[in-house]
Amino acid sequence: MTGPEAGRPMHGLKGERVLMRIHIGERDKYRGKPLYEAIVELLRSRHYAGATVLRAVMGFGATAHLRTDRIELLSLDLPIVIECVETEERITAILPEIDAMIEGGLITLERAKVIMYRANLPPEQRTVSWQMDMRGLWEPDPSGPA
Amino acid sequence: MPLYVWVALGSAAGGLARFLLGTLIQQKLGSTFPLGTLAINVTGSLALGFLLRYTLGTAAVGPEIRALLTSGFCGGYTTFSTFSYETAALIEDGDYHRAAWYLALSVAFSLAGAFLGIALAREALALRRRF
Repeated sequence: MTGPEAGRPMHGLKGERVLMRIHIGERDKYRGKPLYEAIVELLRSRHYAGATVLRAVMGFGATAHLRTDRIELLSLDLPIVIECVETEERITAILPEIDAMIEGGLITLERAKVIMYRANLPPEQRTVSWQMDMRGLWEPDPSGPA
Repeated sequence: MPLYVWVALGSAAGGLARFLLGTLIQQKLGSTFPLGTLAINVTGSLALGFLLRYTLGTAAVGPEIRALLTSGFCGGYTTFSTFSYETAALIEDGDYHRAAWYLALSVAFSLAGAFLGIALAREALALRRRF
């Protein structure tokens, strides 16, 4: 690597992944427990890279019913978004199972460029598989074990 | 049956009525202005004004039914805590204009509702005595 960063290379692992966003409601259930919880547990049990659940402050869905945390009676089914970043194969593999769990909702999939940081990774391993190309190209480093 | 059982039954019905009616109004008319709570508090104030005055003015309704309708139903139906929360939420958002309107409309219309309920009870009692 050349340039001003040469002395201290960025240590993030870099690659192409798929970002899956699942839009559901806070009150959606799967076998008696919150659906978002069931989905996170499913992803975790399959050792997926990670998942994040976000609860929104306002929104509406297919029924056009407004939900907002500012109005007591409209705060009982706030929008939930579950995000998961994984390889395309793994996302595709889990979709049929999530399909069977969701009654009403929406899933979006998009390609994502990822820079991943692992706090517990030793410094000498941090640039093994990917190297940051400061020209903005997102290609795997041919010298590393992709 | 002790009085608290009547209160419990009334407040269950009142809470349910508020939940259904308030949600309906808020979904149909309200965006982020708490119209549902406003409508509930105003109609509830009118109802309590009428019910309390009317039931106190006639021997036909005993304390049990009075407790069911007033402390119970109206108590469960109207809500001061939600009014406070929603006003606080508007202030938190810096939406002082709507917070002021919500505050003023709630107090003014609820009070007007109570007076109207009392007036209606007076008329109803007068009508009752005539026949």
